[in-house]
Amino acid sequence: MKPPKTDSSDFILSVQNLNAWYHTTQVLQEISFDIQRHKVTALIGPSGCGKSTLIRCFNRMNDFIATFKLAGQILLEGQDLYDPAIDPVEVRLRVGMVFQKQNPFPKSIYENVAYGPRISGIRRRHQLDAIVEESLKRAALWDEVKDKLKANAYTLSGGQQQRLCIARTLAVEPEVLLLDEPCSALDPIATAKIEELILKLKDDYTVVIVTHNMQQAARVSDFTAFFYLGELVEFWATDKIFTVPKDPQTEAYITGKFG
Amino acid sequence: MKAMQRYFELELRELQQQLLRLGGLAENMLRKAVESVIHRDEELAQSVIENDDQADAFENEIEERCIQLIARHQPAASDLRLLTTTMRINRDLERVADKGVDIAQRSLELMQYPPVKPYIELPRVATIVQQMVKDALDAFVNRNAILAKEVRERDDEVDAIYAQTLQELLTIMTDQPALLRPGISLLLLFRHLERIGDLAANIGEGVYYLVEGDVIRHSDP
Ligand SMILES: Nc1ncnc2c1ncn2[C@@H]1O[C@H](COP(=O)(O)OP(=O)(O)OP(=O)(O)O)[C@@H](O)[C@H]1O
Ligand SMILES: [Mg+2]
Repeated sequence: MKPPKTDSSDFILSVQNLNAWYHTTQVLQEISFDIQRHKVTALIGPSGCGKSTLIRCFNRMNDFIATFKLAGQILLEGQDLYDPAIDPVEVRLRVGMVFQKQNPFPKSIYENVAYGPRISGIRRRHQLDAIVEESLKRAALWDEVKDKLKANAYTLSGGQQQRLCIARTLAVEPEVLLLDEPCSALDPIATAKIEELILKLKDDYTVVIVTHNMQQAARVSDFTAFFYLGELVEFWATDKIFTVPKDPQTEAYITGKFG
Repeated sequence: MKAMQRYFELELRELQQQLLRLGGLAENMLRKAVESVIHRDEELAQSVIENDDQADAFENEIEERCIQLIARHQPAASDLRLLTTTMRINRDLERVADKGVDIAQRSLELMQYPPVKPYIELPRVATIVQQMVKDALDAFVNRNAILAKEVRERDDEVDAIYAQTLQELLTIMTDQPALLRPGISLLLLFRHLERIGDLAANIGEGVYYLVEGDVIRHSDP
């Protein structure tokens, strides 16, 4: 466990009047909400509503898209992520991301996890060993791979590859972990493992997850944000959203009556 | 997805019909049981007792169906509230039916003795609790939160009459020990009616939650 922050705020991320465009098409409109520390926040909504765009704003992944424009603010621990003085590489270390399609490097299991720490300057073998072991343990993969760390990552199953990607992200000790549909290519058993892992990870990290699986959002998240056509329709405790949603659009979406 | 949704909605509608059938049966049993007391009608009392198996069967079917729908559709929001409320009302209605059977049994006992006292409060309480059950079910059908809450409030009146009758019967039994046995039967009968009032109030609370997504605060009048 990390020591409690001196900052008394419960919120690690704060989204304030966020608007986003690709070219001239606005895809996010006046989004404002706060993400609580050491909680799991789920982003749900129909395809194309802007979930991935938003989650990519949290670690400046959209910087790579030339046509992308943004207005408004995202504060990480009170600091504007898009402040010109901020180094986007540092943002991506503090806010790690795991994608829908598991994408390990075509290298050994060990090298996949050691990659980030190596980049950030850690060279000592025993130090790297310790980080690799710790990260794989945190990602609940260690027991399955500890005897074949030199094997190519592609020899792992899809679910294992996804946990390897999580281990790779954890190796650089992020504060926030972003997961964009992390289970959509996985079978129910691999999915259950990732979900269990998410619940464990929130002791040390803040997790934001995009999912199309309503039951998954209900199972793993503490808060749920429902988006529709680029707008945040409802943001509330998951317990509430899935039993007594306030907005009729949320109700229609989670009961499958949408459209 | 869409077709699936329609199918689920059909199932929910059918489930509600089933619940209302149980409700109708329970109301009918209650009405017949009370009538059998007032008219000392043994046959009518027996017919209530015979209905018991049917009520149990309805309850089991509804419960089973709710569990299946939850397992297969993993409902959320108002669909989820409908299913959990249906399970709750289902149990309460089956208990109303049970209380009808209890009343029929007290009715058969009371027929063995001369009347303890004129039935003045009995039809009064019976009418109130029957109306409570009916209104609770109407509130369910029409998703009427106001009526649901109001049903619950009427329970106080039932409790008051019950307390008063209890006093009166205790006095009678103390004065005339010969009336002890029918007195106890009559006392229990009032107790059954009072319980039905509680069950109707419970149903009202369930309906309120279904509609408002909120529990009735017990501090409310
Ligand atoms: N690189 C891009 N260039 C232009 N438009 C884009 C780009 N990426 C996304 N969009 C558009 O922005 C809108 C939001 O897309 P986004 O991927 O954020 O939605 P999403 O909610 O993640 O959808 P899904 O559930 O299908 O993943 C869509 O209309 C999409 O077509
Ligand atoms: Mg997406």
